[in-house]
Amino acid sequence: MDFFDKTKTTCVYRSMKCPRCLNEDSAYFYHGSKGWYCRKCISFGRAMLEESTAPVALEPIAQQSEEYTLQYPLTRKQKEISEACLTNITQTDVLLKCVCGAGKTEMVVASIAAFLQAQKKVCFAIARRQVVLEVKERLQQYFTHANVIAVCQGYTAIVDGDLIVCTTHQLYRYHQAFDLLILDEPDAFPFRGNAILHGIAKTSCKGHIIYLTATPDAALTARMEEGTLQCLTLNQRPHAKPIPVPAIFVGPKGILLVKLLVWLEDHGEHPRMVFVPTIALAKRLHVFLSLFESCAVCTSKTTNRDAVIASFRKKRHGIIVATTVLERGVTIPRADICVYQADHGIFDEAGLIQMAGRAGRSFEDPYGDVLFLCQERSALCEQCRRNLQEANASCGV
Amino acid sequence: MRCVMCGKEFGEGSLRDILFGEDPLCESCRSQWLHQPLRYCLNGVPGESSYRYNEAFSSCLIQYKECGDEALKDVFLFETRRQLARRYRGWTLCLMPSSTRKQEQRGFSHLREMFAGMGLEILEPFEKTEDIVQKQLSYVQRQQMKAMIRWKEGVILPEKILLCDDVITTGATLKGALQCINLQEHRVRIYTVAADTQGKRAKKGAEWA
Repeated sequence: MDFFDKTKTTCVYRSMKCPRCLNEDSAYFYHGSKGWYCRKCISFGRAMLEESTAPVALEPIAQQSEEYTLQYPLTRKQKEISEACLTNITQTDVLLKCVCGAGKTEMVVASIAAFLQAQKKVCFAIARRQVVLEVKERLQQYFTHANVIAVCQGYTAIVDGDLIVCTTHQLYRYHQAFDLLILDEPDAFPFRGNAILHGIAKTSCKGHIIYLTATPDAALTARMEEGTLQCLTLNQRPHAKPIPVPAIFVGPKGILLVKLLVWLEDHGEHPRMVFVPTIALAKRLHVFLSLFESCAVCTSKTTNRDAVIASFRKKRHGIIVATTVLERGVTIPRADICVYQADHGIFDEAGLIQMAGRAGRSFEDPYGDVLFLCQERSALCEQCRRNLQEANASCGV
Repeated sequence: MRCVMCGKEFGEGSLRDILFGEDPLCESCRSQWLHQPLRYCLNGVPGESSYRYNEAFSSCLIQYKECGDEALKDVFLFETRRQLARRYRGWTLCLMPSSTRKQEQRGFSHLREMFAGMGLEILEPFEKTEDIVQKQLSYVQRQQMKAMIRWKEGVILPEKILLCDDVITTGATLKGALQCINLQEHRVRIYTVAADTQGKRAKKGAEWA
């Protein structure tokens, strides 16, 4: 206990570490009336440094929870990855680097089942709330006997079940609780680059972590080279059709609008998603497009986002104008994608690949159309196109 | 030194931060607070507040009260404490009670820490008869709160009393405290750091505004 100097209000010791967010920056520690605490993760409640935080004890897993049925059987390649993942996860962290729509969720189902059978707690953590609800539904369909629960904003009354699906923000509830943590899209906002959330994710898991992404960031790539992360790659979708490669169109603003209208007209038989860089532009474009055809808008400011997406899903050929909130995890069958002002600074390569990956995800219609509309030639867009072409070439389709 | 809210290093942002860097908040965080002094009258007792209760103020107050972040104690009165200390020289600050459960959880009295920087005498002469957290209550429920505040027996009140609280919303807590005081015997004023003039509950009960 004399490790801490009670007379000082700023910490002078280098070896202090927040038990929850793993922060070691001494400027964030403060000595209050109850002792030292970490101010970096204070928005999740006060984490005292001197008190040891007990691991959260969760309920035992119900019998037969591990039984699952997939909607489609896994393809040969998916099966290989799924088995490799299961054998590796007991020893090391695993990264599934698979193109969008390759069925990442389905490939970890075997690992989840194995852990559930061994009475070990599994968590599926996702950066975005929208995707949590969607993945929860999917996992519930696979694990019919298990009690799958979603924990995110608006759904926090029940926090314990056989299989927990939650946002990365909610992981603070489960200190050292999980034997297996599956982090879906760790390169997505707000998880990407957020040291607090990374720390909380690490401390919530006492076993190993599976990362699922199509676009691993620099930190994951570095760990791969270091050898602490086993990378499994799959560049093919289950229907073995090539991933739609975006067409890039460069022109002045007025021409882009005309091109957009023509494109929307041409793809009138499919649901169409138009991605835009900013909320303000989403609103303006929504008003403009409403003159021609009824369309929906979805941004982070939309209050009834769930309802908007549900109604868009029901329509066979609707239009939705969206910001990057919908760039990941959302599966709309048969959708065609247009990114308006794809050269805008707000989009990064990972985001562009993810948005392009929304197209052609269903078995009935594996071909989709992707169009990038730019005002200037953009290296990022071309890099994105090259990446997708390489991925297609690498599996010979 | 860093800003206590956004964690940005001082001197990075503006000239004000470099020259007048004692404010625990940096300029961009401070500028989100709405400094609009407001005078009001509650049951005939004059009161005043310095800020409007907006999103920036609310998030700061939540971090301080609910998350127990003591480092924020000087943020609230930093701009006004000298002026207030002059204006109320000779007065005694009487703090509003908070729920015992919350207080134990926090481990410190949030109002005492907040007003300690003014250098005036501080008393906590009231207590809640029932352990109720007001946050979730509606306007009507809050009005019944009045009966739930009582004077701690044995605490002698001085002649000049300044009732202090963080935010005035419907005024229910302060009205409750006023009922415990004999207004003929004491000179009473009210000071709240912020006034909630926009919220749903406030609109309904803005008789003090």
